[in-house]
Amino acid sequence: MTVAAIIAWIQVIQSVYQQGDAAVSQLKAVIRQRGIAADDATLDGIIADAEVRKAREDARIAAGAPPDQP
Amino acid sequence: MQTLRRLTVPILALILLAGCGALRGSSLRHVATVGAATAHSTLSAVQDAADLVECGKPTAPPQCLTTEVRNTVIAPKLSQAFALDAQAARTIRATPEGMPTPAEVGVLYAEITQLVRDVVALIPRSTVADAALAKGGVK
Repeated sequence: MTVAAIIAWIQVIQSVYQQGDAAVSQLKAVIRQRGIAADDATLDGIIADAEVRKAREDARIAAGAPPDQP
Repeated sequence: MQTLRRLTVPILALILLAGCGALRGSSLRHVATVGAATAHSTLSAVQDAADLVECGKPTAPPQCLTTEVRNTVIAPKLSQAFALDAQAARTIRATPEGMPTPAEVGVLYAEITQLVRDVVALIPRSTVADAALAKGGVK
């Protein structure tokens, strides 16, 4: 094997490693973004449900004590 | 009360761990989100329990909760607790990934914890109440 062939092989191997690193970084970024989106959806759900449940309590406060109960 | 204390410790611990950045492997924001979901679930279970044991409801036990107490004493506490719950969730949502959870969140959950304790103390204990509270991790 000539020196030129060895250098060519090294370049190929380097290229594969670089692409591999880039792919892993890209995958990590995608996972991170999906995780953030999932957490945002959870928090949005909590906010919406808390507002509905708070409204139920506010309606009770407005109703006050019923006249037929001590 | 003892169980409530046991329940609130992990919630506050999660928030504090997120704030201190102790869980390096996990996203701090994600840990805070899990804490928020746990706290909301507990608070919702307490509201459901208070509704189930209200006098006049088919599920109400013999020692029921009067509508007067439910509407004039418990409702203001739960209304405030859900307002704080939503505020904490909004604060966590507004926190960028990689940033520590604001200290304000810990303060909000401490206030919610006290309100939950107050409400649970007012709910007459029965199998109906216990089953509803258990759904939120309160036994």
